[in-house]
Amino acid sequence: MSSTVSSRDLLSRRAVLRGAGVAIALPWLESLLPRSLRSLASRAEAAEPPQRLLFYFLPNGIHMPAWTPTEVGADYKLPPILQPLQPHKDRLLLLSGLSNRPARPDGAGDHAGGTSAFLTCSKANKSDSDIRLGISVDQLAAQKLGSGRRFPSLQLGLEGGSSGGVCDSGYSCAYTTNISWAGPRTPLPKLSDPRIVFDVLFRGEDAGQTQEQIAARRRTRKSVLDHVLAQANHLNGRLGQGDRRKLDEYLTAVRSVESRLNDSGPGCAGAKRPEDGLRFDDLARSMADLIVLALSCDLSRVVSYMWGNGLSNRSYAFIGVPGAHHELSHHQNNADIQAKLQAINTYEIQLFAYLLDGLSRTSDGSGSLLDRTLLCLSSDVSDGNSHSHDDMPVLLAGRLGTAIKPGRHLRYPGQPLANLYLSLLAGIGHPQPRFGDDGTAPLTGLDT
Amino acid sequence: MLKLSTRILRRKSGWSTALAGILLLGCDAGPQLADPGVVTMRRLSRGEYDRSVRDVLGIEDAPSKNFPPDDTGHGFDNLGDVLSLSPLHIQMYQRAAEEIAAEVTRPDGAPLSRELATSELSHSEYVVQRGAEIVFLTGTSAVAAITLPRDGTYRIRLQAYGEQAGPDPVQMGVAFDTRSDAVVTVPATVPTNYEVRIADLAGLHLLRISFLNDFYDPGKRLDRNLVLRALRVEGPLELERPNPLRRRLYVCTPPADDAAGQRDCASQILRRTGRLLYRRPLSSEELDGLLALFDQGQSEDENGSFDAGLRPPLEALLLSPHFLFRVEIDDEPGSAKPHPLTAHELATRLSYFLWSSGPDDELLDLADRGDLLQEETLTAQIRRMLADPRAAALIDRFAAQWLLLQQIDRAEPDAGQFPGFTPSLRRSLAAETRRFVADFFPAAAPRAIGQGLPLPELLSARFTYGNAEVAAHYGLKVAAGASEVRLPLDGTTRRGLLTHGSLLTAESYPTRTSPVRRGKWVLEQLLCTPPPPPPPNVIGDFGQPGSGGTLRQRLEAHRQKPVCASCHSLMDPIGLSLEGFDAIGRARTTDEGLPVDTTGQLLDGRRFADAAELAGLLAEDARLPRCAAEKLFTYAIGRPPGEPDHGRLDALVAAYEAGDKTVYALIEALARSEAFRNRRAAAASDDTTAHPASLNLRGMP
Repeated sequence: MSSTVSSRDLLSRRAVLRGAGVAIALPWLESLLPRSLRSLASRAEAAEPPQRLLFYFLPNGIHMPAWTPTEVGADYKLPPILQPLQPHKDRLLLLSGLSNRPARPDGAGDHAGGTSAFLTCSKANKSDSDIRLGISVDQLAAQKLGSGRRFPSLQLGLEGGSSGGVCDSGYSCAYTTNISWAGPRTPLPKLSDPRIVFDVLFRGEDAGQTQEQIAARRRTRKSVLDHVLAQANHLNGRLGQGDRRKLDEYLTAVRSVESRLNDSGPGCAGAKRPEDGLRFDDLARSMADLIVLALSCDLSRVVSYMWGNGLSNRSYAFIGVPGAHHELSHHQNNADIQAKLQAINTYEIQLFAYLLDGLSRTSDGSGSLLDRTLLCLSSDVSDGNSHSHDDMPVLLAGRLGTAIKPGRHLRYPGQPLANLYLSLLAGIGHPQPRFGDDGTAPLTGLDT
Repeated sequence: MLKLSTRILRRKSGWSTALAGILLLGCDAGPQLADPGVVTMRRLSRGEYDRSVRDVLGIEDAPSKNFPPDDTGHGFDNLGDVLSLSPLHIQMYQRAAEEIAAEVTRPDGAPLSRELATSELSHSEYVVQRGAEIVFLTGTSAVAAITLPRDGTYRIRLQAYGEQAGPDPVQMGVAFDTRSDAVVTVPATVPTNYEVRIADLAGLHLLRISFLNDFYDPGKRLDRNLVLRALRVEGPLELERPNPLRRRLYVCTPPADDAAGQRDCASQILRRTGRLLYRRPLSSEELDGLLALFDQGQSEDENGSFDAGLRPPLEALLLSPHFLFRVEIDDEPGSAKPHPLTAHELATRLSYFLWSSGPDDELLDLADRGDLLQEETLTAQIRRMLADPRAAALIDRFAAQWLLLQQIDRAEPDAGQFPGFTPSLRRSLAAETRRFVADFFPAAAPRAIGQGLPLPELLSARFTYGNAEVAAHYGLKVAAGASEVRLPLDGTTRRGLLTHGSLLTAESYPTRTSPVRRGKWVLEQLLCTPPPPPPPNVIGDFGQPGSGGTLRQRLEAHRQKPVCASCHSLMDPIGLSLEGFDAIGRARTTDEGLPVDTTGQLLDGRRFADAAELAGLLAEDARLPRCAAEKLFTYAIGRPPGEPDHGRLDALVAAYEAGDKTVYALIEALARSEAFRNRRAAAASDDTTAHPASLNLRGMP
């Protein structure tokens, strides 16, 4: 056993623990913050709880000419792709010009680089098996918003894993199938079958059990978890370094499940198990419904959502665009293909609008769910043909309480996307001095 | 105790491996082992989890279907570095463990089988408790709440008798809630079993037992009373069935009313099951811990049942790191010195390589005795295991991932352009390929083939297997029905796997063929010489139909650019020779009205006229067995081969050439190799480089 453990390892382990919902106070961190940030933080804390964050990933970029408004400020007109959002226009904050430079790969691999950097703003280690990245913004947010929730964070999507095969140019498939990362080496897998999501979210104790039986069940569950935790602890000293890292993942996960043993389950009526074999459009709506339900029942306050995996080759034949999406995204400036991409993007935004409809229709007591939620939508690349990570398409929706003032189009040319995440983290009262590879200071002007 | 025994085994294993080395090689048998590379501890992948619980407990319905997907690296889903574990995993494992434990301990019979103690019944003071019995003194009732798990008919067993008096025997009423009584006549004067069947809906009910015909004559001192001794509810009867899984698990019969005997039986069951799930004997501490869980489970159960006791320790076994991970111990975790695997670790590597499942009793017995570390025993076991039906995992997991056979499930040919591509055709084409590939692997190969066909025939075979749908799709005039039959391909340009409809479809785009993807598949999967990725900003779709000329002409224009030529001159000739098949794999002679040209030339100058000739050239390509060896190495050992492994791959290919050029020969040589049988801990210096750089075979001939 090596006696030296680098500080990086310690930090990441700690980050992992906290991301998974185990609270460890880090008072020194806040004291490192500049005063301006601390005031932001206290302002957020003064606001009414709860806040929620939802990160929304679209694969293969956006047809930018039909996305970016020409006007800046409050008097902007919705470009064609964003037309389905007309009813929500005053709840949108469009940001243009942001860059996500850590997404740039070594050589080829822009989709792996871009997908993995979407929420981490960290550069992925180019390897098919030695995966190294960084903690994602949703997991930092979960440290603050996740405590006490049945699910500190949820990872959802509409495409499963790759199950064999190669992904992007020498990058492990982990980089294109996950956007949430608990730590540099720990991607958090997503659920992509609405029926399983339903079971995970809403299946409680067996009906008809008495309180006594449920309590007895909890006690044996705890004993079982304690038993395997003790085994893992005993094993720890007999493993090499790399194996111990795997065991750490196990320990963290078991503790996280154990800490939630006494949750009484959702007192959430009206949930209905989705049907089997849904067509894509129904599948997407069904998943959006489940997200609304999960947030309104307060099962979780942090969600990351992948409309598709990085490099998705889904066919949109059902809206009249047959052909593989990733292949089409290399449009070579062919106007016909660009029109197809625009149709796909418009459809994607239509379904995003469907989610906003659900959130705005649902009350959380004081207002609509959407008022206190922030949705943050972007992609792995800007334009699919050029693979650029500059001038990223970034769309925010909601207010996050008072942290965001929507109804505008703002430009931040060349500013890192990571700085937006710093603003969001400050907005939920969990300010960080830095984020990812290039986040150094929050964006200004989002709230005023 | 465990630690002690592994140490003994390890010492023994070191000795016998060294000895085997002397016997085998006759030289270079010093104690210094070559660096086996660092293999990170592997979590069971979904396919491995399912097969493990199937083989140990008989669970057939793939519990992992609800687990999060496993990430892949180097094309495989069983690499420790990439198999991460999140709280969601544990949640799903916990759920699966509880469901499995409930299923395997479920008694023969119905979902509900509940004994109600007479003391659990509520009643008036006219019913009195007398020891275990209650006596109904007047015409009154006693009730108990019970939850019926499902709608259906329930059997209520009552042990009762009467203190008889007067003209009639005792009459007892049994009912749920306020329904009218089922009347039972109780003429007995000693405890006797009676039975009533009542249908009702799932949910909470009040079970009511009544004494219906009280009789009292103080003058003659006659008093008729009902006495109830025991009460049990079972059902629904519609769901009653025997449970073979429980019979398989219970290697002993738990004696009734004998706590020590029950604990002893639990200990036998857990020792045996735990050994199969942990793939090694349990230590006494481990067994004690499991028995403590048994005690708790039993005491928490209202009936103190044996089955309820057994569930928590079974759940613990299924949630344990010793089950979920394939643990390999480094006695000196700080030292990067190579050491042999213990016999049990070797048994585990073998079984997950060949079966994607845990070792069976025979393998564990040999490991317990240390015999598995002997060369002859190991070889005999490899051969036994390859002949076992469980070795079909090599087809369904190894070959399926190697050759990307699951891609066909996700292919989306445009329905407008290819209305004939029905779900049924998709299944038939996938079945064709599964059946054909099986011929090259030992377990499922017909007896006549034995160890499987020579690998080159994977590409050059003049036959395939298909049902009538496949035959029609290929334009073959053969009598075929709903199941696969051998289809001769003479007289066509179809040869081997390359021209399978499943592959041709999976490596096409929805609306057209993709010579580039087809060519890339051959280079990456079959020859392990992936083309370099395209330079930025030039990847593109030069193949949109309607932009003039055939796809070949458009690609040729693309190749005029020097920056593109370097790769496309590798991929395109291969892919273009397959242009004789459309985007769903049908033979064709024209593309957009222009004749298809399938001729070509490989970089080394060899020419071919069509797909059949190309398949012949590729079949004899030296990169094919080397690539198969590289893929098997990655899959079996859990890391890709690095620079230091060149010689190991050479040795595998030499064994292949010396044998019958079969995958079998590669597998056997690999399972016997020292890279497979040794390990070492990661040194601090391994953390930054993590692994030997992935082998770059691009420069290979």
